[in-house]
Amino acid sequence: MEKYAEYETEDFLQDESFVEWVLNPETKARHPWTAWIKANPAKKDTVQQAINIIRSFNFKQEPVPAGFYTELIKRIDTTIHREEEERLLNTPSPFKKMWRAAAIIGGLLIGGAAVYVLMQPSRTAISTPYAAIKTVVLPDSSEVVLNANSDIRFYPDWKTHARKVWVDGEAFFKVRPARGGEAAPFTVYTSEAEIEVLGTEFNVKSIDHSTAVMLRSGKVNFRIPGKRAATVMRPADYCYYNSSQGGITTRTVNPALYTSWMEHKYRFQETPAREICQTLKAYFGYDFVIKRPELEEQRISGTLELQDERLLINVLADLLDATVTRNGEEVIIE
Amino acid sequence: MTNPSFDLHQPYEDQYLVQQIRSGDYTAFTRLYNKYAPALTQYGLKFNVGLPEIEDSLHDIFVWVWANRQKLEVRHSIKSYLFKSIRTSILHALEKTNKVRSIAPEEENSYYFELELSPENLALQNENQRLVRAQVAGLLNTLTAKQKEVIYLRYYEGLRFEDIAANMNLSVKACYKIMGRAITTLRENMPNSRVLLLFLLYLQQF
Repeated sequence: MEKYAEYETEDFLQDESFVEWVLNPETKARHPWTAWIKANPAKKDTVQQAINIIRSFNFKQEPVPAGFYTELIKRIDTTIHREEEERLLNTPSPFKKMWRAAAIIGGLLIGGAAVYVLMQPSRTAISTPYAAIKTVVLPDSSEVVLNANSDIRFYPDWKTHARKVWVDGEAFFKVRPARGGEAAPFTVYTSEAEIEVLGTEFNVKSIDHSTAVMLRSGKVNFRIPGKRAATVMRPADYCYYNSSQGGITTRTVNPALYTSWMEHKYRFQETPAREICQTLKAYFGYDFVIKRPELEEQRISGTLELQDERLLINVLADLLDATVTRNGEEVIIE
Repeated sequence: MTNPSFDLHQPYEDQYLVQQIRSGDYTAFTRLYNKYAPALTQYGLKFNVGLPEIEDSLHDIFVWVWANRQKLEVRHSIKSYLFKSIRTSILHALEKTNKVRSIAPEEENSYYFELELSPENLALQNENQRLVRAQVAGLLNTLTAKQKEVIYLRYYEGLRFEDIAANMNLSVKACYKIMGRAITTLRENMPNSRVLLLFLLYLQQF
C-alpha cells in the first residue's frame, strides 16, 4: 500500500477499496485500511477530509405514494403472465389452428366468467407463468405452492367467507388447522371436484377436465358434486377423476413422486412417455411431440431437472433411447 | 452515512438471485424487484421526470428481465444493469418529448440530474461534519448533471467506476476525469481546521 503515502484527498475519494471501506462500516474493524491509517499518522488530515466528504453524500429521498411498488409488481405479474400465454398461442405447430379455436372459445368462456366474477365480491387471483413456481401464504397462514402455469383464487377476507380456494393447474397445500373466528372446513375447488380438508398436506392437479389429488398427510374428503361420487382419502392415496371416464379411481402411491415439482424436479415411475410429455407441456408451455407411435406407451422411470433445459432434453433422450431435439417452440422426440 | 441498500455481501447475494431467476424461480424475481425498485425509482426521479414515466420504465425493464432471464450473466452486476436500463429508458422518453437535447457523452449539461442533500440529521455528530455538509450542499449546485450523477452512483449507490462508466457511455478514464474535477472543486472549498482532533475522535470508533 506504499503508493497511498502520496495520496491527496481526491485520490482517496477515487480509490475503489477506500470508498468501499468507508461505505461499509461493518467490515471496518478488520480492514487493511484501518491498520494503514493507524500506521500513517501523517495522512490523517487528508484521509479524514475524504471520509467527511463521502459521509456528507447522503441524498434526499423523494416521497413515493404508499402502494406504488405493490401496484407496479402486480402490473408486471399481469404482463408476464399474458405474454407467456400469447407466446403459447403464437407457437408454430400443427396444433396452431386448434389453439386459435380453443383461444376463441376460451375467450368466450372467460368473457362469460368475467361477467359472473364481477357480480361476486372480488376474489384475489394469483397465477404463475410458465416454467416458474411460487409460494403463496393464504389469509389463515396456510401455504400453497403453485406450480408453473397455474392459478388460485380466494376471497381475501376469511372472517366473513369460509376458507375456500379455487385451483386451476397444480398446487400443493399445507393447510393449518382452523383458529378462532375461522370456518373449520377448508375447501379446495377445481372445475369438477371439491376437496374438503381438516389440517393436512396434499397436492391438487386440475388440467383438461380431470382432477388428481395426492394426500401426503391428514385426511380429506374428495367429492365430485356432478356425479354424487365421494371418497375419503388416507395418506399416500392418489385419487383421479376425469369427466369423460366416469368414476373416481384410487390407488396408493409414493408421495415424493407427486411433490418433486416443488424442487424444480419431475420424478416419475413406470409412467407412459405420453403422460410425461403432457406434464412437461403443462410446465413449459410448448409441445413435446412424439413422432414414433410405439414410444407413446413406453413406460419409463427417472427424474428430470426442470431448471436445466439442455440437461432435461439429454436425460429424456437417454431414458427413451430416442433422439430429442428442441425445434423453436416444439420439442421433437423421434 | 445511512444507506440501507448497502450490504457487503450484496454482490454474492445478487449472483445467487440471478442464478435462481435463471432457473425459473419467480420468487427470486420478486425478491430482486423488492430489493431494487425503490432505489431505481429514486434514481429515476433525479432526471426530472414524473412517477408515471418511471412506473412505465420499471414495468418494461422487469418484464424484459423475466422474459430474457436465460441471457442474464451471473458474473455481471445485476444492480448496475438495472441502473443502466432505467437511465436509458428515461433518457429515451425525455428525448422523445424534447426535454433532452441529446444524450451524447461530450455534452455536459444535456439533461437534468437534480441532487439535494437529505435534511440534516443526528448522524452528523459534530461541527466539522456539519460544516462539510453545508459546503457540499452549496457546491452541488455548481456541478454539472454528469458530475452529480457520478457522485450519486459511486458514493450513494456504491456502483463501481467501471460500471458507472459503462452505464453512462463514458470511458473509465473520462469517468475518473469528471469525478476528479468535481472532487477538486469540493476539496478547494473545504476548511482544514480542527480536522486532526476530529480524526482522533473518529478513530475511537474502531
